[in-house]
Amino acid sequence: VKRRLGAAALIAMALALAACSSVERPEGIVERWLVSLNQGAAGRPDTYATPEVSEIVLPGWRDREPGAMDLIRVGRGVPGEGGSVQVPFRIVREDGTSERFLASLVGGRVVALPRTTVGPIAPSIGHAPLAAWLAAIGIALVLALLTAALMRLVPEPAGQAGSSR
Amino acid sequence: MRTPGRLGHDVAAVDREDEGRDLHPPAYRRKLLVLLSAATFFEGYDTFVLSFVLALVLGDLGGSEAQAGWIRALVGLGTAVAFGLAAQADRIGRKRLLLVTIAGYTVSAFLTALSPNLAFLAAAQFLAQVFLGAEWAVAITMVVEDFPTRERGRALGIVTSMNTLGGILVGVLAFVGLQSTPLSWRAFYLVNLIPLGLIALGRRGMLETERYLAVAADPASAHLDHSSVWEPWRAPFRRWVLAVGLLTFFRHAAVAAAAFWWAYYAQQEVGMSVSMSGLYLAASGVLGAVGFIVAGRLMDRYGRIPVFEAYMAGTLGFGTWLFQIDSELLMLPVLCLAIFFGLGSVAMTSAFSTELFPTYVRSRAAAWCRNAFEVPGAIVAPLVVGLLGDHVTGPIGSIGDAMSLSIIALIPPAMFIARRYLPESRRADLVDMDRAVAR
Repeated sequence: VKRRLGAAALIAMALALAACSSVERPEGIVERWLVSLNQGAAGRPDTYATPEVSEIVLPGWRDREPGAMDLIRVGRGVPGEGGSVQVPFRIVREDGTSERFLASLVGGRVVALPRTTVGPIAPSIGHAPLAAWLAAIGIALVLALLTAALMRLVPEPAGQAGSSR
Repeated sequence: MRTPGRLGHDVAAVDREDEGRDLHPPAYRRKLLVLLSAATFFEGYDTFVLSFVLALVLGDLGGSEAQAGWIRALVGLGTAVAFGLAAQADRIGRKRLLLVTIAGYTVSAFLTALSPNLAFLAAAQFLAQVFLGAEWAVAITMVVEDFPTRERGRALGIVTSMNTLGGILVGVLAFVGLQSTPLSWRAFYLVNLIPLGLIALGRRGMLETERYLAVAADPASAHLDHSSVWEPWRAPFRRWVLAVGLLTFFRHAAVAAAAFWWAYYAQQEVGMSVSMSGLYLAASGVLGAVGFIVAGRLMDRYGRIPVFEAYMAGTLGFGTWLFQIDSELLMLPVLCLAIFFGLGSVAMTSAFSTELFPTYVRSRAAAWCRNAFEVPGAIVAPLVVGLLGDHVTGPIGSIGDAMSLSIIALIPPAMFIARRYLPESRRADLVDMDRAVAR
């Protein structure tokens, strides 16, 4: 039982370590940039983008009150030229006007907004790879195995609890 | 081997299971239900109120989000410390501890309303959680001990459902503008003076539970250890504490993470407005409360384990789906069903953590299951989902996906434990159980 418990614990740790390895997602950087931009004077969008591109999306953002954008929707990024990543996004301003952009990221920063037609923005959710779904099922199995191993270490009581047992 | 529970509801047969019990009259039980429901109602109220008025508190007393995070962690620790207080119910009695916890909680909430700074507020809220954590455990124990076998599930369903309704009250008070009164956020904590009024009205006629009195008066029970917090880990009970504890850990981890992250997911990943997400939460919370009541009735009729399995299957299906939905229109019915099944299953876990244990150790066992397993689940899971779903650094990169995957990883083990290791306790005979341990 102890050997099984150890094996299950090792698998669980391996899965946990695999889950912890990560890289910065360009879609997340674009989202943080836009959220920061939406803070107006209180925001720090320069952390994520050059001042020029911030100015294109929200002219005069430094003098604005927070909440100039009612909706921010970031789509999935695709590899672009010269190691860049192209991330489409859509914003809806306070006055109801909607606009689509394509952000070009280099080295984790938005450096340009190429002038191009951007189609409908697909949501960035619901696209976990099949491997992630299989891993979740695997974790459920490992947790059940760990539980079974733990329960085997504890003897069954002599029928004093639960009358219908 | 588990003996399958009887389908059908033979009232006369069930009544025989209560032979030998000197049950309090039905009118008293109704009054008790009101008092216990008020206790769990304000537990739910307090759970939601701090996060709702946090921005106002920080604006008034001064402080950063980071400081708010530390306050949240400190307040959460109060629930873990509540374990020591809850365990006292087996020593000093259920009635006395319930009154102490309600009074203590009301005073703590009043002190919160008077807070001159964040440190004082954190200390007062920590105290409030200590009393609330113990209050929940003793309220559940009293339901199990004072209600006849055929009514136990229904009564558990009603008492646990009040928790959700308490949360809804916070939203309703905010909607009607309580925060806009001169007292601002402090007014939310003054609402907590209501339980003290209930004690004043209800304490005189309140009785100790029938089972606790019977065991206390039985000389054969005198040799039993009524005070050690480790008593539930003795050989006769260890297996049930571990099984119920692990089950509640897995279930509550998934449900607590979903409750914590849903609003963020709806606003940031689906694009829903804050007011719309609040409206959705209040509307689905009402249906969620119905989930408790239905669970209580079903588990009296079909047994605790089949109904738990059905509720967990509903949580798995609708919970996973909920965090994959991109349509505001579809979101509402799926949210309602996810809350119905996810929160409603508390009625069954409350039964597991009390009905499997004899009276002299029941309150301590329930405290172990809640404070040592359920509470850590509620702390760890939201953190893991946040790390996995962080939009920039998370390996999954989406809170919705991280949440769906977590539900798939956590709910099946809970179903496995119920199916494989727990006995059906619908007809658990508390008198027989007490006699067996007294021998």
